[in-house]
Parts: sequence; structure tokens; C-alpha cells
Amino acid sequence: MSENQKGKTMISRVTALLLLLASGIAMSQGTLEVQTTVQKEAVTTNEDGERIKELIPAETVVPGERVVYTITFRNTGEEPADDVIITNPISEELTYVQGSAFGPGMELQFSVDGQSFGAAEDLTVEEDGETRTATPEDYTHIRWVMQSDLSAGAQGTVRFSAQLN
Amino acid sequence: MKVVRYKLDRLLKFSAAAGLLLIGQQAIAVGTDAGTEIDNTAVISYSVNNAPQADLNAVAPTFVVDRVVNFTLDTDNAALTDTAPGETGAIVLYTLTNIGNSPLDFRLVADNVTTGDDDDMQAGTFVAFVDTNTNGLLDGAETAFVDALPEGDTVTITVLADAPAVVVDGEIALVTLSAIAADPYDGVNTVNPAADGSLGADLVDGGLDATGLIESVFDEDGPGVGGDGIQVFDTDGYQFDFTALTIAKASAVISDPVNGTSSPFAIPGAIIEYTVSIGNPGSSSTTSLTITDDIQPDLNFQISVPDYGASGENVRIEFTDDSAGSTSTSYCVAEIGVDVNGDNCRVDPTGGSGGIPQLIITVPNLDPNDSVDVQFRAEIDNS
Repeated sequence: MSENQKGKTMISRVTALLLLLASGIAMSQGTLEVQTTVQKEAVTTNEDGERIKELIPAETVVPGERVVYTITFRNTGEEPADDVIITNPISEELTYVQGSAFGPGMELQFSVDGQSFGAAEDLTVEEDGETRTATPEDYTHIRWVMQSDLSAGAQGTVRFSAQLN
Repeated sequence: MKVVRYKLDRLLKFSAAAGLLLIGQQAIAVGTDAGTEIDNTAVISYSVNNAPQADLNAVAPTFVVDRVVNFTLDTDNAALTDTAPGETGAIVLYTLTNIGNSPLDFRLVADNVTTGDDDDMQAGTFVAFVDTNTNGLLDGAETAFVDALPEGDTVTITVLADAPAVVVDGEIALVTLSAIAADPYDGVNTVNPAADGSLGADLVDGGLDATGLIESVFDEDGPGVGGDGIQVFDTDGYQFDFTALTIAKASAVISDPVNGTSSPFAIPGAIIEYTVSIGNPGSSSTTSLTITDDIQPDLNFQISVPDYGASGENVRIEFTDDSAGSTSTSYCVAEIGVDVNGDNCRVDPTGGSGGIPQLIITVPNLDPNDSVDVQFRAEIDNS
């Protein structure tokens, strides 16, 4: 990355931080526009006594509850976007909910160190001198790798759930 | 629509363990601290026409971890507190454990239980507080509330009350102690606030509904069930466990005018020694224990008894201290009329039944199993 590019990234991050205060605000750079929301998973009981999972605003969240992050991105440019990769570090106060990551047309990868990424079944961790398969508690990052171009005007969505520790 | 909150194993386990947490000083609290801000920023990288573009940050709104209000109140000891009639500041102890995810203030209210089969007597003048220096008094910097009890911690609550003066052995006076969860932050969003010397407002379940402020989720009735932020314990209190003192009076003939001290008989002119024995077989100590004994008209109370000392002493007091395993003897002078020497030993010439003389002696207080013997002598009137 050139010094110039680095500077540009810095500026965009500063911009992003300023915009952070507003919920769900659209941010764009280049030809992609992105929007992120956080909601809470709640189980409600309907008139028939059936339990239904629904998403409600993440206003009251206590340990043990689950939140859902949804990232929506759109290509606002004239050209298709290639090699779209979305990397989401998982906050240390959150634990990824197994099987919750969702992304049509995406290859799903995880990481336990933020450096190397791979399919869930391929990840291992060292513990007490033993190597074992990584579990959701071990995941530090989720990554979605788009398997095709994002055409001009097209949009995509990825989502995952996490439990508040 | 009823919203049943989604709770997970972790919370269930903690709640199930609540009963065990009372023993340890450092119980395990539930999860992430209230007030913690949770951020999430994804990074999107992409290319256009094979030219990498600058990464794009996808920043989710920050939310604040809310407060789980979950705590237990229990007695520190299943037994009732043995209490003496009229005792002031009698102590009952409770334990309060915070198993939420935030320090909490607690408002304390102790009161009398007025009804119920197990509650015979009514105590009064209740004080509930944290007795930091364990001296049984609300003093110094101690507060009549709990100030910012950290999550996972247990504090001992001391309740003081005054017992009624007149009770029957075995009667019970129950106390109800309520602990009401209160705001440790006093309206400010802070993670793990320290004690600030003030009691915050009572917490309200839910309430604010805002992503950036700490709200309270009452949880003491079990995950997903809720609660009211109040825990009450009302089956501890005081038991008046004492047995009436034992008292016995014996007499022995010391001498008579005919036989002297050798096999004397109770004939006119004989000297009789009376022994009044008092024991305390109960579990409470006596206070202000006074012995009175009417001296019958045909007896002449001995003004001075040579065997009892050289200064006109005429009453012998033998005190047996059970816990010390010792016996001590003392003498006093029972003056006729005023207690001139102030030794709490006198004869009231007309204080007895029908205006006869009465011996009045204050003796040492008797702790459980202590006893005292009081001896004095009289002559059988031979006039």
C-alpha cells in the first residue's frame, strides 16, 4: 500500500467514525455503498402458543441474549466490483452463534487469529499442547468471499448472530 | 404481545447456582458488565477492473450492555436469634448476594412481621445496615443501605431490633427484611461504579428503551420470568428462649442457748442460717437481679455476724460463674433502713408483707448456668 493509499484509508476511517453516531447511515466510497444494522433476536409466543423468533431493535440487551448484525452492500458505480470480501472481527464480548452466518453467493470462512482464514471444519486451535477443531467460541473473525462479480446496481446482504457473553 | 426473552444455558446455570453462591465471598457474576459498549465494524475490500479499491468500513451502531438485576437475600443462619426480654439492639444477620452483571445499590427495609402462626411477639425499633466494623451498632461511616455491591459479591446485612420487655419463654418475633435494587450510578452510565456514599433511586424494570443507555432487566424470578427488583426474607427473627430462675431456700440451725454449736435445736434463742439459692438454667442473662425476703416477726435479723467478716457484715454472697468455672464469696452489710454504705444490701423495716421487715439484696447478674447463694442469720425470738 502506497503512502498515498494509506492516507486515503485513514481519511475514510475518520469519516466512518464520524458517521458512526448515526444508526444505519449509508456510507460509500468508490463504487460500493454499505449499511450495517444491529438487532436483537427475541422469541415471542403467538396467539396459537407457538414460539416465533423475531428481530427487534437492540435497545435492551443483556448477557446471554443474541444480537444479529446485517451488512448490506450495493454497487453504485458503472462497473462491476470484483473480489468482494467482507471481513468482520467478532467483538470479544460476543460469541458467534454456530450456523448463523448467512450470505447468498458467498463462501464462508472463519479465523481464530485474524490472520489465516478457512472453512469452519478446517480450523484448529492449540490447547494444552493438543490440537483440536475450533469451536464457535474460538472464532475471532468471520469472512464472506463473494463467488462472483457484483454487477453495477446489484446489492448483497450478509448476516450473522452472536451471543453476548 | 408477550416477549419472552431469549436466555441461554449460561444464564440458567448461574441462576441454578445462586443458592450455592451464598457461602463464598466471591460468587460468579453473570456475563459482560452493564454499560460496556459493543461495537462491530466489518471491512469490505473489492476491486474494480482488477484495480484494488480502498477498504470500506461497515460500522454498526454501538449498543450498550444493559443491567441484569438478579440477587438473593437469605438468612446467614437458619436458627432464630436467642433474645432476652427487653433486650435492645438484638441482632439478626442476613446475606445479600449480587448475581447480576453490574454493581447495585440496595435500599433496606426491616420491619415487624405482625401476623402468622409462628409470630407471637412484636419487636420494634428496626435498623438494617451494613455493619462494616461488626460491632453490632450503626456507627462511623456505616450506611443503612448497601452501596454499590459488586456483581458476584456477598454482603452481610445486620438488622437490629428491640425486644418487648414482657414475653413468654419460647415466643417468637419474626422480622421481614426487604432489599430493593437501586441505581448504583445515580443516573450516570458507568461500568463498575464504586461506592459513592449515596443510595440511588429504586431501579425500574425496562424503562428507557435506548441503545446508548443502561436499562435494567429484572431477573430474580428466573431467566425470562422477570421479577420486581425486590427480595424479601421474613422467616428469621428472635426467639425468647429463657427459663424462669430457680430459687430455693434452706435453713440450718447454727447454735442454740442450751447445746451451743453441738447438735443445736431450733429453740428460742437459737441462731438459724438461711440460704437462698438462685440458679439460671436458661439461655439468657439476668439484669438487675434483686432478692427480697420477708423476715418474720418471731425472728431477730442478725445485725452483725462474726463469721461473715470484721466490719459488721451480715450477709454472705457466694457467686458461681459457670463459664469461668470459679466461685467467689463476698459479704455485705444490710443496714436497717438506709443503705448507708451503698452496697445494695439493706433491710426495709416495714417493706415486707403486712409491714414486717424485708431484706433487699442486689446480687450479681447471672449468665446461663450461673448461680448465687445468699446467706444471712436470724435469732429465734426468745423474749
